[in-house]
Amino acid sequence: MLRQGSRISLILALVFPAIICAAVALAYYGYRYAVAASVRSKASLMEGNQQLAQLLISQVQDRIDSVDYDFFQKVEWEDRLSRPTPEIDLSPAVESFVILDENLKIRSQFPAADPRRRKPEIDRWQNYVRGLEWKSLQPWTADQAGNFRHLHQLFDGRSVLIAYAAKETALGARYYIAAKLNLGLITKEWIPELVEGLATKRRIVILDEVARSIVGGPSIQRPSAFLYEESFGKTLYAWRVQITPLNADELRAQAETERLLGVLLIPVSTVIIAVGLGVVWLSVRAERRASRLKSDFIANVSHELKTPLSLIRMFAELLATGKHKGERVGREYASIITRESDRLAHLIDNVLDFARLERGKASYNFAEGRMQEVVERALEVCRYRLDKEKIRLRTEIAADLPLCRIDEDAMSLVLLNLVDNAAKYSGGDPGGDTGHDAGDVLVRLARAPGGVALSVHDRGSGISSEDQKRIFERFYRADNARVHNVRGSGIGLSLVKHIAEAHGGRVEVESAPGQGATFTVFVPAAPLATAERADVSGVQLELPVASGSGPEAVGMGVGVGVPVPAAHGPGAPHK
Amino acid sequence: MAGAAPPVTRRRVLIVEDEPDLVRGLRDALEFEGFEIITAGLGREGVRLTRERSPDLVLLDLMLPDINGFAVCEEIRATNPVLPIIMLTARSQETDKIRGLDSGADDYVTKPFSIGELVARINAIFRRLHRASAPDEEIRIGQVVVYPRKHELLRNRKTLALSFYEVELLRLLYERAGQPVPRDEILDKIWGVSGNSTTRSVDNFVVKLRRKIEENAAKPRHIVTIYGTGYKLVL
Repeated sequence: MLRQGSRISLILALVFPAIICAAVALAYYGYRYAVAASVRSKASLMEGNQQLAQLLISQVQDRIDSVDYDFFQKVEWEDRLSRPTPEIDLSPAVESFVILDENLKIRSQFPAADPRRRKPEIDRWQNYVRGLEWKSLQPWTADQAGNFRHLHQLFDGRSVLIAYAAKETALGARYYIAAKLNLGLITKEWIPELVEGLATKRRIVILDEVARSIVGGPSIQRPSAFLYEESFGKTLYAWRVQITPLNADELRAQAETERLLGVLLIPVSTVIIAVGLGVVWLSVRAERRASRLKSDFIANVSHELKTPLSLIRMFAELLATGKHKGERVGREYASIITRESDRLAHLIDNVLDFARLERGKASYNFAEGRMQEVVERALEVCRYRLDKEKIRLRTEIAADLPLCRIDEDAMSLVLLNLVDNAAKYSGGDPGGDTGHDAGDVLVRLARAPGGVALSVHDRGSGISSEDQKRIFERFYRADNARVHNVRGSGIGLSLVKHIAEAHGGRVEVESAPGQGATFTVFVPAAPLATAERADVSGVQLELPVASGSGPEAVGMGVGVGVPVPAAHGPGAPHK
Repeated sequence: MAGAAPPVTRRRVLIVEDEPDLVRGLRDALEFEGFEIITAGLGREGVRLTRERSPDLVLLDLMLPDINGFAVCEEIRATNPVLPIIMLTARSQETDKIRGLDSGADDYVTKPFSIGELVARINAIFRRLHRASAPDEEIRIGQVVVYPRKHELLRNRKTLALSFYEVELLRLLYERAGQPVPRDEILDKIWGVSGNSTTRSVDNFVVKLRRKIEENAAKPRHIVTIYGTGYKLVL
């Protein structure tokens, strides 16, 4: 038992920290994993943003480039003409263009210049194109697509996109073309079209040179989680694309929640597991205490069984072999055998009753009955024994008690156990130096609020408050009882409590060391009986509480009255 | 407790037992057999009486109100390695018996017991105690030297105490060294009881003796078990 107990303790001592360590490790790696997963998902989100931005940029560029290519392919300048190829079909994306000769003199422009209404901004960009690095441009050839360039900058606070290229006439004379593209068309039609074509759940914003939003609503403020920004790089190189998931705030909140959860997970889960382990440990401890008590009980019972058995065998053997001094001694031996047989039977009954009643209420036979009759019958049973042990039994039974719903056998068992207990512990006070008769047991039956109170008082050495808390536990035996060797199995009081509660009542003990003890069992009146009684006389309430003073004061003690070895015979405390 | 001054020849038996009726029966039975009886209801009282009244034998209950029988036995053994001690126990588990023997008891009787058997055992002890051995008698078993009169043995320059029954058992096996000695015979000659119901006491004693004599008690070389019969001493 002990070895097994310590093995369980050892296992618990090893397993509990192991579980806590595992929980902490699990929480830690869980957190790490959550963080990594959130980083990964953010990375993949950003990657998606980046791909989308690049796709959009390239689509925009491709579209502009294809217009430019078309334009530069179509527009020719003939040496002799001051006008470009007439009637060419210009894309609406080309707002205007100029053709410059080798000396960068404007030789032609479209739409034609109106001398009456000169537009300074047209002049400005047209003048500006003269300063471009035309010389470094390779002349246009159709198969060398893309050797045109773009200029993208602010003129008068307005963004202007200019495509320009160098070409050669059939005679090999170099000339230059610069076209101003319709940014309004690009931003209002093309880009929205392209964005729509991407069919994405992301918000796309195009910012201009001064970070004003041109497409896609207000600009996205930084810092913003999941925001990706990329410059157009060429063509519209002064502009940038911003991309962010539509539900960025939600995602951010979600990521924050996940992070918080991760952070909280460690302490919370550890605490929960620790609390859980604590609960398990407590219940294991309670279970082990119960099982220890049970095995103590078995040891007690087997010891209790073997003691009378040994006595019976020994005295029977002495009688049988005739090894005793005279007939009187022989008769004493025989009476010891009888008494010990009774004790054995009583013990076995108690164990069996206990086992039966522990199975639950089903084993009770409740019926309306009078407590006074039960008490009187039960006292008859033990009066003989008490007389023999020179224990004075006094009774106070009130008249006019209500009917109760009781199991008479169980109730007798309650009284027998309480009286047996009182007799055991207040049994002889052979020295008699306490000045009062310790061998008094008072049984009182009185009315109590809502029912009947049955109390048994004795004048033993009392029960410490420590023991009072536990004496109703199964198999528990008070220290005094053990030290002073009062025989017992530790189930009598537990049985009393069990029965009282099965009747809807309760049992209480009042005691102080040296002051004796009072055990009181409250039994509720049968429902009808209470009403009936209340009509007749609801007045005379006699509370069965031990006064603890005066000659009538009685109490119960644990462990004083063990008969001394010499005073054997009828002094032994048992029934 | 004890009666008036006993005749010199009366053996004094101390009963340490808390159950008054049991004490009474034991007292009556043993007094009838001619022993002088002293009694103690508590373990500490028993230890004190062992010191003050020098009993010839102790009957010791295992379950005592103050300290248990094992502790009492150990306390008695601390000052008196030879005094025969018989334990009275309600328990019959082997572990309890072995523990009892380990704590220094010479024999145990399980409740409920036969008073006749108990008296026989006590008488056997006294018969053997009575038998004087030569002061210089010694028994050599391998590297071990046993001094029966001193209740001691010398092994690896260490002196170990031997109890009454241990010496008796060794002496019996030594007298018949090389031959198997049946358990029943051992029980009869040493413990003074016949029948095979309690032969486990012999086995328990052999276990205890082997721990003192053998190099490796798990693989005994000197006290050898003869299966189905008993034991043989190999010198």
